[in-house]
Amino acid sequence: MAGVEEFSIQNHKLKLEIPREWMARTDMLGLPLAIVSPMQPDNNRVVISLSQASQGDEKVLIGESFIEASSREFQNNKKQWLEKNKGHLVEFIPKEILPLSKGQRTLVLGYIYDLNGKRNTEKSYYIECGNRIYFGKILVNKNNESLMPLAHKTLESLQCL
Amino acid sequence: MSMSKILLLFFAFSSLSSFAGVDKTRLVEKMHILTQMTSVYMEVCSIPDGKGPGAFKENEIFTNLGGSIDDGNLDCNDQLMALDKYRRSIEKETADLELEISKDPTCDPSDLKEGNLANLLKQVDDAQAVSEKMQLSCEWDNTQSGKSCAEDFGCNMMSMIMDHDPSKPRLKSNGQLCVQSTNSCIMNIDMGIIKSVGGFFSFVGDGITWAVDRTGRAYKHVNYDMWKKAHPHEDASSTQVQILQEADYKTMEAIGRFSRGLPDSARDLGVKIWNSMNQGIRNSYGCEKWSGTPYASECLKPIDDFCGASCSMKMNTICGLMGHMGGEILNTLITGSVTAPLFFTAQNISGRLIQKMGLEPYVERLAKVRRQSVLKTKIAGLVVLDHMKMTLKELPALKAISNAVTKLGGRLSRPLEDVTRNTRTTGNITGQGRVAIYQDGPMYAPVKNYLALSKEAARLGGFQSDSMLVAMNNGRARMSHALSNTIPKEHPVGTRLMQNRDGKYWFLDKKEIPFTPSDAFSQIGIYSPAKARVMRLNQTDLKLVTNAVGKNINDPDKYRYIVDELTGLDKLTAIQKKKKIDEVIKKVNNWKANSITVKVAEFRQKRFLASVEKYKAQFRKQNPKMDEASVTRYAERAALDKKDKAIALQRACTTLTPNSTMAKAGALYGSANMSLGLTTTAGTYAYANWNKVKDAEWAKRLGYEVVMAYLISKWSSKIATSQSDTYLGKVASSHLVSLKVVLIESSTYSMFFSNDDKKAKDHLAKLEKSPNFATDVKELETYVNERSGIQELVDGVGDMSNNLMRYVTGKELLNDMSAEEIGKLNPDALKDPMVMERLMDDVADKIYSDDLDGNTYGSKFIDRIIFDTEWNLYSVPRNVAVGALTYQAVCRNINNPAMAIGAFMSIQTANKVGSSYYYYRKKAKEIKQ
Repeated sequence: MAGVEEFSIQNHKLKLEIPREWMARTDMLGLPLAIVSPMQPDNNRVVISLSQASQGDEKVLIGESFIEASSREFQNNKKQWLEKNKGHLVEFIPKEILPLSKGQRTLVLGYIYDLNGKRNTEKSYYIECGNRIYFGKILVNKNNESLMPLAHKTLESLQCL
Repeated sequence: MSMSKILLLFFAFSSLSSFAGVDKTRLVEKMHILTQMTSVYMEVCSIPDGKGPGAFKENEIFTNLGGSIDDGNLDCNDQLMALDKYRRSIEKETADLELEISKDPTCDPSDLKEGNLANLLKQVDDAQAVSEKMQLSCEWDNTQSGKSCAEDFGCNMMSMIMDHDPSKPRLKSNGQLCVQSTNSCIMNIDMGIIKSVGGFFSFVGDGITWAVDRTGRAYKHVNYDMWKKAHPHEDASSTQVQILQEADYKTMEAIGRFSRGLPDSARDLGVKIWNSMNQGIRNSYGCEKWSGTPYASECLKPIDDFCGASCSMKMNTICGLMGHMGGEILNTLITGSVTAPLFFTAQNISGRLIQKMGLEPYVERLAKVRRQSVLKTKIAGLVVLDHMKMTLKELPALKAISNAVTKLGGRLSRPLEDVTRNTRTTGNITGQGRVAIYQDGPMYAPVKNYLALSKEAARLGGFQSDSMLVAMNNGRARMSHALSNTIPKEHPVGTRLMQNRDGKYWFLDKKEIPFTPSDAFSQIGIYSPAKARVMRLNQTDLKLVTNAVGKNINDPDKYRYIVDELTGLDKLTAIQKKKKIDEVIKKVNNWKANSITVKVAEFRQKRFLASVEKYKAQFRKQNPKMDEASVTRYAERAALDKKDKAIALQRACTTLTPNSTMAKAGALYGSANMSLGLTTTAGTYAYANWNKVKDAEWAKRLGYEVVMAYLISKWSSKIATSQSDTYLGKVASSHLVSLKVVLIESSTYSMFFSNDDKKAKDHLAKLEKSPNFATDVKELETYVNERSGIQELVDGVGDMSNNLMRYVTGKELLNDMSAEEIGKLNPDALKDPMVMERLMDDVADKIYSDDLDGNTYGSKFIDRIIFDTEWNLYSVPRNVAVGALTYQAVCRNINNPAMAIGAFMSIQTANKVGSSYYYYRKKAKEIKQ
């Protein structure tokens, strides 16, 4: 089934469980790591991106005020993005705080929007992982919503070495 | 000459070949030519008295009335000035060289020794012979410095693509600093386009810094402030995943390869561009011997000017050429050309982008044209000449020759002063130059010899004999000739028409009236006998045609057509000329009403009649006492002359043979077009929105704009300025065959002069009947409808666009402009994008503020371009047409830079404001009704 693959982002090694037939590529269009599902019948893929949001060896954690402001900031940001891209907001997904990597905290924010005649769900993951913070993103088309758990599981599998 | 001397010279030359060998050779050649010219000139234009230059044959003009006008005239006055100027330019070059050499520590000035002229000339001859025997190879490129220069160029390019701050030092991929070109010229060109390519692929890549404080330390906790840093990453990654959502594997792979290898790819691309341009310059301009037609065949023997140039010279030169290459880079990315196989092919990302935008036809054609000839531009040569400053390591022989020539030339100064003193102070010269009409034969061999030498001098550069000057000289010769024979003594103006030293004309009256050369041209007609016009035709050609068409010659329309068509044929090659003559004969013998030929003839006649009226008014005003019959006669003559000149110029601008008119036009057009890059729609969009988040919409719009407008206008610029296969050749070869006559004859003229709506409507009606029309319109509409955001654009520019077009077509904007504003402009202004933008605004303001009626379908400009030519509605890029059109306008006005600028600005402004989407939509709807 799925295979654990090792990657290196900014000289930091990490492991992820890549679902079978999914494809992981580093340095993709400016994204340090991109993972995509096979092309679905509706000609869309599920796309996961991952980048590192912190650097150095000092431990960095997600602070409370970051979480506190997150819903508001995220929503403002996405509204602006949609406006620029002529998209329409369907709804925001309530924020979640999940234990992801070895029980460390992950802040998940998400929204559903229409753009170019498609309905997408996009989720942002702010992941504490070891000493670092990673920024993940999942994009799933409405037709392929059944793949969201698999995508989530992929990010959930993140291990920082 | 002794063997040791030859060896010495050989050594001197060979030691220079890696530095600047041919620079020196060329200067020597120039001096050699100058010496010969001076000598022949004195033989022709002075009466030797055995002690040196004798009496100067003041005002003597040697002309061959049996030949065509460009057989050349030797005007002693003009050539004296030209020679003097030439001598000065050579002196200056020599001085420049000395200066450079003096800075070179390896140079020992004590090498300089004087010798007698004859001996030195012999040395030069010998040296040339030696250098000709030498294998000229461009060793420089294989040296370490040559390679690292290419690498540095690539490095600069990489930095640009990677969007590095231009003010900061740039890094090579191995972490070393780029050696920057001396003036960082690379930073000044096409930034928008190149950066956009890189920017598209590097939105997010800086994940390193966003959770770090100002000191570079990581935050312990990322808190509220962190959101400010998170926003750009949220935005960018949303866009990125969007792009990937639909990407197929091939695209993914291509993106990945590109993204991963971006720095290396960019550097490699730079190196490849460098190498190909380096080679291209040598193969096109820098060719001494061709296998066939110059610029259109293989170069058998390259010259190595460019080989010897230093890195910074080369970089500057190539940067200059990059103006023409800017679009090429994107083109490379899009078509996956041979220049850079490491980039995508059309099948992957950009291919998909293109596919989505429905742009395949353009790209296909771009690729097609591109393959034919990319770098064989004579413009390259011009740029090279501009940028190449001679550097020389040693010049004992040169120095001595220079001195000798200077002395020789010095003898010319006296008669020159005499002439100018006469002209300025006494006013005794009445313009009645003695005209020595020479026929072929030994007696006038020196004249021909001199003319041949002057051509050679022009080829070497520095001697002014571009078409304008030649034409002016012809004009002067004709005028002088005409004056001497035909000016009625009682004529109030004729005897006072003068020329000053600078070649400007004025009346020696109480007040001086400056005359432009073109005015002077027009005036010639006034004084010429009826046969003046025939002078401009090659009698043999005319006979050939008249014999072939028989009685047809009696039809005034047909006769007029024949004469028009045979005007200016000297710009064509023998084969082209024969073709043209055959074509004329065929057309006259199959004279069809309503054919393009007839319409063109009618159009010319209409213009001619309008022109006559204009001249009449002018002459009446100038000479109130002149009787009406004379006014008419003179006006007709002047209008005829103007018409001939226009036809000749048109011929020069559209012929398949490169000529100096084209080169000049190309240079002006090229530099203007280059600067315009930022001010045209695409450039504006990228430039104005550069700080905005580069999301999908941005990329889409930019992609569209860039591909449609910028790239294509660049492409058209390249076509227009290419000298190897002139733009018409290329236009024709890219499915625009019908463009030739229609665009050149009908559109260009009618855009400025005609106000006939009926024609446009007729064409539209005709178009409607074509089988593909309905499909085309439907596809077009779908295409337009699918583009989100276009509607706003459309609404914004709609009315203005139509009004503008109308104005341009209906009101002779150029004439209005030239009087007040354009006249003050220096062509150099076109090099400044800010000036260009300002100008465009001014033009737009001027047009918009004018009182215009509400007719929204007066857009003949577009009618002509899009509909008249019956092109597939959208598969032929409008900007190609506009580019061609602009080039035409510039080329035809090349003798009047102010007008050329005016033409350029007007058409480009119209094009800019007049976004055709609106027009397409409206037209599509209208057609459906």
